[in-house]
Amino acid sequence: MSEQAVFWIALIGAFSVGLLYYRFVMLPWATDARLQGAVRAFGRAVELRFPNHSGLTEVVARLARRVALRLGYGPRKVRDLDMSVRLRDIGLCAIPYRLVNRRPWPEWTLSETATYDCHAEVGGAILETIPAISSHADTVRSHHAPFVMPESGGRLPTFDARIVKACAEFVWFARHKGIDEAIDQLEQGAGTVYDPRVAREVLRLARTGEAIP
Amino acid sequence: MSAMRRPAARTAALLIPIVCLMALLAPAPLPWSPPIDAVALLLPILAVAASAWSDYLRISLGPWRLAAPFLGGCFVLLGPFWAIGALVAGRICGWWVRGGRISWFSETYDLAAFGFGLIVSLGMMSIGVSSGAAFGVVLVLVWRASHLFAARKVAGSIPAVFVPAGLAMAVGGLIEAGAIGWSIVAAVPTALIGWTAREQTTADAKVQQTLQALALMLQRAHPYTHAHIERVARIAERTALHLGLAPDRAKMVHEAARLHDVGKIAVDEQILDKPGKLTPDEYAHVKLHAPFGAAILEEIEELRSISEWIRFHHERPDGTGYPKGLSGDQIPIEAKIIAVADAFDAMTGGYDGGEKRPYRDPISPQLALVEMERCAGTQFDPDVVSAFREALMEESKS
Repeated sequence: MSEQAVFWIALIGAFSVGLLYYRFVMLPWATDARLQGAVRAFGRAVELRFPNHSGLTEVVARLARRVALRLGYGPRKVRDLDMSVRLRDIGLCAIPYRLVNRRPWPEWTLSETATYDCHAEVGGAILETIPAISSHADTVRSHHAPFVMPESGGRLPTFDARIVKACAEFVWFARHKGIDEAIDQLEQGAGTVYDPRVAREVLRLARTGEAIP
Repeated sequence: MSAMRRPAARTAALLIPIVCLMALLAPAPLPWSPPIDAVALLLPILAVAASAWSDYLRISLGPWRLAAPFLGGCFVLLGPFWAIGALVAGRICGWWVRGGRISWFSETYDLAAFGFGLIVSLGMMSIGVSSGAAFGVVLVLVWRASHLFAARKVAGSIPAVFVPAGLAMAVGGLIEAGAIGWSIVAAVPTALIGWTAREQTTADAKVQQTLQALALMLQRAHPYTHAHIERVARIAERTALHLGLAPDRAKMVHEAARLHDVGKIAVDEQILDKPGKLTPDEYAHVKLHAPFGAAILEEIEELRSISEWIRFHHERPDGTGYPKGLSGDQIPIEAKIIAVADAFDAMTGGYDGGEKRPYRDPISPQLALVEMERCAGTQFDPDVVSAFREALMEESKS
């Protein structure tokens, strides 16, 4: 084979390797970054609609990532969990503005509470219509479901949903009622409301100060 | 038969018999082989890449797109064989990039013209005409044929001529060149480009679907706005084209117009739907939807450029708009376009009054146009109003 032919075959080979690198490394990374940008936009929209949620998502996402790593999640699953956290309240866009913004939740009527509780189901339904992120629908739908759900025949929420629930409610209680009450809430609910493994990890982080919002 | 297929059928009916007749008369082709040197592979590869990726990037330099310089380089430096080979490969990659969608009209036309061009080029080369000259003659012949028989949209399109003629020359060249081995070597990166481009298309679709969900979120909160945003997006794009914006820019205006009210997610729907006059506090709350919309879209890198248009789509040329009170040229032209399209749709209640706002009775499109022209220079940009009128007339005709 002539030198010229070798040179050109090498050039084509290098070009092909470059393309493969782009296809398997750069393209997934870039797509992921774009999707995460879109998901951040959802989170921002919800926070703008309900200012009392402002800043919560970032704190919950950080805590959920730490808990997931302690539970042995790999980078890919941690990333998916992070997206679920950011998408969890997307259904709030269908909840009346005044219900959430004008009166504190302890004053809500049963009917208003039921309306608010729809947001998980609505969020799941919205996500199911978007193929790129539909895999998060189950987690979003059950992110307020208790660990034990006798009314659904004992079916458990997804493990991601259990992490999201424990982290989101811990952060909510810590912010509104103080860290001690948040720890009490988690301890009392472990095994019934919260997955005991998840609750244990959140409590460990809370006691070392890493989970304080 | 649809309007699209009639010209295709006419073209096929006239060209195919000609091709068959010439095939019967075709003499043996000329011996000719392509050079294999430094640019022989690089230029075609670049041409193929540019053909495939320009679609994805939505970058276009007129009908020739980015592949043209490389194809031109192939043609000048290497002769038609490589130029045409790159063109064919680029076309296949471009087809992949577009997700394999086929226009049967184009395919029929291309097939008929290809056969015609192949016979003509081989015939000319066999009687001693150089391959380059044969290529030129085929181009002219196919172009003229398209003028005679095909639809107007094909007649004026250079690629529509270039592609079938190129395909014809490629097959002729391959037959003569005996360069099958090198073709296979070059096919590896070509196939990889196509595959990668297809993956890129899939990734783009995922992101697009997610962005569309933003519009869906808005629809959940304020159902009446769905048809409104689609109408505003369509007429805004058309207005942008009438103002001389590049097609890619006009597409961005379309996208921005679809998302222009996304900030209303963060506004109390009872105030948005309130009949009658708003209190100053309520109006101040409603005005936040423009910066809110920009803040939401700023999270998405590829929409950062349009977030400014959304932030300023309620600014007025006389400086009395919001949120910043910008005036004249300080307001991006794209924001001015969205402002005009949005205001017209709001005034007319969806052109036929079927979607009237709770706080305003709809008026006829004619009255709305008169009103907008009255406000040109103060509330609206006069050039944009003028382009909008033209766009509206064009849309009503179509």
